[in-house]
Amino acid sequence: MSYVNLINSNVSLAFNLVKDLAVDALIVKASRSDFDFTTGATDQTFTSLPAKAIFVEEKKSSKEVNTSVKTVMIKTRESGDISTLDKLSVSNVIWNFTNIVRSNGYITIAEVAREV
Amino acid sequence: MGKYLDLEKDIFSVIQQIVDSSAYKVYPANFVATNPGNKFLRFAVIPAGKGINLKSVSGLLIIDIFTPVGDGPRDTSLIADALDSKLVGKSIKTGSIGTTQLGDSTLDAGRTDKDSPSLFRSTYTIPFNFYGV
Repeated sequence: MSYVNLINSNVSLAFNLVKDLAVDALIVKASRSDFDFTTGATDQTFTSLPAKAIFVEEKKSSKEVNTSVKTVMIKTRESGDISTLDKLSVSNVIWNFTNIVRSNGYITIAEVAREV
Repeated sequence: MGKYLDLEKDIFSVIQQIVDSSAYKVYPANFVATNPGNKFLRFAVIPAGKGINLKSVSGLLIIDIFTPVGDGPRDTSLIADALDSKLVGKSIKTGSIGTTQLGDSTLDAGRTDKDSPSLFRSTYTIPFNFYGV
């Protein structure tokens, strides 16, 4: 077995061991064209990929709007890199990726936010 | 259509000319680019100044010029000159409300981009007046 597969299978095992702390999620990946200055818009297409996610921390702010910012750990070996264009869907709630904190090709730690 | 959209369309039309005549990509502010390369432009229209009447406004067109770190200032100067040829002193009218007139440009010394250390960012600034009638 290659080291890549060994690490990936152990990451999968770890996500299974935490049971319901790891929730089923969809990574909604955006693919877009360059900006069109004639129309002032851009064409975007979205692809949903299943992933396991563990919410690690939550910060709430209500200074101007009620915002929830969560730090999430996602198994991203299958889905590939995440960008701030992408979204995370958990239980039909859409979260926007606001900051990709760390990624090693197997797990991505990111901040997601939404107005509540 | 209001003065801000009219102004935006004027600026976009001249930016489209820059896109058509250059090898590098150009993006507006608040647009997340995918694969922009290491030589590209990002601009913001800031209509924050007073106009001569209620349908007019003045402001700045700020264009960040991104080039590779370590390659020296020549690329930036060439791009700024190319921008000058399209922008300085130009008068643009694409909408129904007014005309955008661009002034003379300035270019700052530049610095390594704080978000991407492989990029050098210089800021090209040109004032404009939008005259609405």
